[in-house]
Formats: sequence, C-alpha cells, structure tokens
Amino acid sequence: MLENKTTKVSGSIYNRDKFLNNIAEKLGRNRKYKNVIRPTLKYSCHWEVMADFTQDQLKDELIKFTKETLGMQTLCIKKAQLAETLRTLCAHYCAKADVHGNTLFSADKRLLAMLNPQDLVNAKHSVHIWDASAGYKANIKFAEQANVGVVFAEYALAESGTVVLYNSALQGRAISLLPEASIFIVLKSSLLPRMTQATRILNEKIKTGERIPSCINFISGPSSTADIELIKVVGAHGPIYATYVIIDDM
Amino acid sequence: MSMKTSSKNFQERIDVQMQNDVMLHTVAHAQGLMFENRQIAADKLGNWEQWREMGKDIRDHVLENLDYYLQQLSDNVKKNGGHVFFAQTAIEATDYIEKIIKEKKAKKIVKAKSMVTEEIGLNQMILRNGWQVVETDLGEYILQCDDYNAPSHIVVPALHKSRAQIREIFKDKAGYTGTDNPEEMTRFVREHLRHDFLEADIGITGCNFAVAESGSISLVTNEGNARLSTTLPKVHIAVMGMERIVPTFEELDIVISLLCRSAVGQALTGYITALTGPREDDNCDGPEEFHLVIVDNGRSDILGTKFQDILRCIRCAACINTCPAYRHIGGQAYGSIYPGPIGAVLSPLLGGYDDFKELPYACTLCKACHDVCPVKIPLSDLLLKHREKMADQKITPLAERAAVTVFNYVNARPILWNTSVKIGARIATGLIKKGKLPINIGPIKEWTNTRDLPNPDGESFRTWFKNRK
Ligand code: SF4
Repeated sequence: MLENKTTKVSGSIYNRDKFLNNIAEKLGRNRKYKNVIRPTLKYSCHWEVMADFTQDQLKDELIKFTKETLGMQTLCIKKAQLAETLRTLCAHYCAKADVHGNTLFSADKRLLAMLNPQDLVNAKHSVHIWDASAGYKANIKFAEQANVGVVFAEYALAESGTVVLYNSALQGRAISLLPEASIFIVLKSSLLPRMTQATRILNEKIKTGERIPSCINFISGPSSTADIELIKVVGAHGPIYATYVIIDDM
Repeated sequence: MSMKTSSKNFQERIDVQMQNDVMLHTVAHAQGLMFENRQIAADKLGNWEQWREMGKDIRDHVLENLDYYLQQLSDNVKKNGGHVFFAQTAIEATDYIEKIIKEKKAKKIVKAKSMVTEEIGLNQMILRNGWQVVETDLGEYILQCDDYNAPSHIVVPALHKSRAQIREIFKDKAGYTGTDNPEEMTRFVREHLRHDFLEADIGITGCNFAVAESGSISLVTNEGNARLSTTLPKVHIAVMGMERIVPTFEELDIVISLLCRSAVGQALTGYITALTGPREDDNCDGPEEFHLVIVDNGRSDILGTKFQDILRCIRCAACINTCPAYRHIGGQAYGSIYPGPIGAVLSPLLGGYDDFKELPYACTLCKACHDVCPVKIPLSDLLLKHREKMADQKITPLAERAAVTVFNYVNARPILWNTSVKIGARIATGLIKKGKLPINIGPIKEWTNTRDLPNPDGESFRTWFKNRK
C-alpha cells in the first residue's frame, strides 16, 4: 500500500465561533458540538449496480464503456505482456514526436515490480522515472517534455469507465496530467462496480484515523470540454489520449 | 455585490436579449441537448427517484446540522495542515485572499471555474491590485477575453456564444489565427494557457463538496484545469459556499452521482478530484500551502426561513436546462450570475429585492424544474413565496409584465417553437397542453423588432464594472 507522510506545517482556523454561532442561532437552537448521527441512507440502489458481477464481467463492462462512451481503448493482458504492450503504446503515442519520444513512469513499487521501464529505452525513446527527491522543477520539466505518462491505478470503476489514482511521493500528480497521453495500469482484482465501493474504502481508512492521500483522482478517460456550442472536444487542458491496461492477475 | 451582472433594468435586458438571434438559437439548441442527456443518464442509472430522495435527505441533514459539520470540516483541514478562514461577507473573503496574495508576493493567479468566486467579486479585487488572473475553464476564458462578458449559464458559462463569435474574440484578444472549429480553438487555448499554469504562484478553485470527516474538498470537472491549478502553483486557495458540504465519502458518492448525471449527463465527469490538505512533505508536486475560505455572504439568512430548501442546491443547472423562460430570454437577461429557476430564487435572497425583484416573475410556474431537480427543491413554490413576500412588503416590480413579454415574444415568432430542438419543444408544448398558458397574458401587444441595437451581446461586464464603482 501507499504510505503517505503527513504534512509538517500546522494549520489554523479564523473567525470560526462567531460564524458558527450565527448559523446555530439562525437554525433556532444552540451550537451542536457532538452527537450528530448521520442517518443511514434510505435506499441501497447504489449498492445494487452490478452487484453480482464477477471480475470478468466488470472487466467486460469497463472495456465496453470506455470504448463506446469515452471513445478510448482498454486492454486486458497478462503481466508478462506488460513490457511489450507498453512498448507498442509508447511508440504509438510518441510517433508524433518527430525525433525522440519521452515517457514518464510512476515509481510506484507495484508498477516497477511488473517491469523495468529501462527495457523500453531505444534510440527513439527515452524513459524517466518520477523521483520526488529531485524536487519540483526537475520532475515538472520531465513531465512537461514527456509524451506519455504511465501510472498505477488503485481501482477501476466499471460503471463510469473510471480509474482511481492516489498520489504519493512515488507517483506525483503531474504524471497523469502534463503529458499528452496517459496510460493507466490497473489489476483485474481491483475492478469495482462503481464509486460506491471506492468511497467505502476511503471511508474505512478515514475512520481508522489514517490521513488519506492529499490528492485522489477519479479519472474517466482523457480530458475534454464542451464549452463551445456543447460540441465535445476530447483533449482540453489535461491529456488528449488515454489507454487503460488491465493486468489479469487472477 | 458582484452577483449582479448588469445595471440595465429587467425589461431592457429582456429586450436586448430577445433581439439576439445567435443567443436564442444556441440556447435553444443547447438546452434541448442537455435536457436529453440528463434524462438518458438518469434512466440509465435506474431508480432515479430513490437517488433523488437520498440526495435530498443528505442535503437536508447537512443543513440542519451545518454548524456541526463545518466545525468538523475545519478541525480536519487544520489537522491536515491547511488553513480555514470563515468569511461572513464577500468583503471578508476577498480581504483574506488579498492578504495571502500580498504575503506570497504573487503576481499571477490561475483560477478554475467557481460560482462563489464570481459571487464575491474575487476578480475585481485581483484586478484592482494590478495582479494577473487567468480564468482557465474554457468557457470562463472566452468570457474573460471578451472583456468579462457576463456568464449565461452556471455550468456552461459561454453558452450564448456561437463558435464564430468565439473565434472573433480569440482573434481580437488572444492573437488566434485559426478557423472556428471547436477542436482547433480548444487546442489553441490549451497551448496558450499551459505556460500560465506553469508560471502561476497561486491556484484558486471553488469546491463542489467538502467532506467533513476527512477535511477534503472535491472538484468536479472535465477539462483538467482544476487539476493543473492544484498541482503546479505553490499555494492553493479553495473558496466554498458554506452549505457545500457532506458528512463523509459515502454521501459524496450519492451527490456526485446526482451532480454529474444532472449537469452533463455523464456517469462521472472526466475528473473528480478529492484534495485533502496541502501535499505531503515527501511529495514534490501539489501545493505547499492550502487555504479553505468558507463563505456565508447571505446564506445564513436563508437558514430557518421558508426558503431554506434552496440551500440544498448542488448547482447542476438541470432546472436551467429545463426552463422555458430561460430558453426564451437567455441567461444574461436575469442580470445575475445565477440565472434560470435556481437564480430566480437564489439571487433575490443573496442580493436583495432591490436588484432582483423581477426574477421571481421570470417564471411561468410550469414546474418542469421540480421534476428534474436532483435534490427535489420545489423551485416554483419558492418563487411564489417570493411573490407573496414582496406583496407583503409592498414591493411592486415590473411585475408580471416581464413574464408576459416572454410569451408575447414567442407567440409573435412561432418559428421559435418550430425550430426548437425536439425536446425543448416538448417542454413548451407540454406547457400549453396543460390547458391554457399558466399565466394570464392579457392583451397581446405586437412586438416590434428593432434590428440595429448597438450591443447585441448585452452590456459587457466591464462597462457594468466601471459603472458600479
Ligand atoms: S435548484 Fe436543483 S436543478 Fe437547479 S441547479 Fe440547484 S440542484 Fe440543480
């Protein structure tokens, strides 16, 4: 699992009591400091979505949804095929870079346990691995120059074609953001029906007092916009291309 | 108050808007499309009524215990190393942000779309100080380039602009030389703004929902600009309306599912980003400093009143996309950053009857908005309550005249009904089918069309901004 250190800086709160006293007063009661029980949700329809699906059915749904709705590709491969698959994908995404292509890899241990990114290096393709100790400037520079960013996703959600990313020192936010193309690696055993299961997992972490990662992203495909006459344009400020690679680990 | 986007009176705004054929066309087309997409997404999910009811319950519970959840939220943000500022008024909020910008000696600020920052007049403060602020949401960027033309929709702010107009704006203001192809223009903006993200000292965003239990804020976007704004600059300031909060991630699931489907017809938008405090010490990107500004600005005055239901709103714009009045007068005619049914209820509450007394009449009481609101806000009932309250206070706006104008106009130009996109037309006919038109029109005055108005886009935000100082 990812281990996120906490932040040293100490936080602060300004003007709270006056502000909250006013709210309580407007609600016609005294301030509530404790014993507020959040009501159980009335229905369970959110748990019913794809409730009885096997991992294979979830995989099929995910592949179908990403293809038909998000207009992108999801592959399902064996672990042994990962290096070859990435070589092909990177070459494809770097083809636009006339001279030399660059791929930025997350340093997530689970990803690096599956392949050695250096194996993808050739005369036309360089590889860089995220290294937080080199600092903001160096990493952002690589991210900016990279054509492709490869990251490891905690989960993928079949209903919405979504990958769930946790940031960490090993997997910075910029990897899946600055390069034109994103490749997301996710294990088949980590496929979930929808947001409901992913948020439940977060809830449980939080209940134990663990600080969740400072940046969690639910990403569904490449970036897009429809701000001009509601016409969907794929590729806005974030990546223009995306591929999900499911590793069949079961 | 910067909620107000025009200094013209309602009648004048309507007249100007109604002669703007481009606007009428794009709005009618867009409304039909968004209405349809929302319906498909809701049907696809199934049990939509149950979802709505859960959404309503969650929001009601939060409002009833708002002090408790805001306390919990702020404790947790602090624990994570963030700073929380409670701002009673718009000025308190902008003063605090001004102070941070000064402390950081920041010169460039990137902003991701946020209604509440519009409401508190954040950009005016920044510009007054001579700092540079870049709106990075494509729609907002278009309007910023167009001398801060007022937004006409809360989700798609430049909805009233055609691609040809947008091309002209980019050509004049950003040195664009390409065609009016949306993809080409989007790529241009991508390249154009990338260096702004890299150079910015501070990123400012809104907050779709805060999560009390973890001290997180969530951002619901498609473009990736909010991610860039919270990854590259050293400081992140999030501004939230005080009611935009849920207890835990479990409720976040429900409200986000409702929001994405209701707003844009997607199961989830391209990016749902949950941010919890500043970055961890061992990380190298993401903000070193995180500030959360929680804004009241008139919201607490709604608590405990017969208008409290409006605070459930999750700003999805489904009501706007369904409203026949909005369809025919366009967003800018409302003169508020919050148009449509939500705006007609909320604007007078936050901004007062002086400026917004006509809005409760920009409604035919057809109740289509009730049926689509994901948190079941009885919008037209609330509009009626406004009318009653104004009658009690002897406030007499241009009254029903405004609403009447809408229907006179449409009646005089049946082409509007005919050329409307199917769905929109269905709403419109549904309206008439229920018997008569739900309002009493009175004698129909023929509407005379003056084609040569000087400024068909309505008053620019800049002119208005100058005038109000
Ligand atoms: S009032 Fe309801 S439909 Fe309208 S924006 Fe708010 S939540 Fe959406």
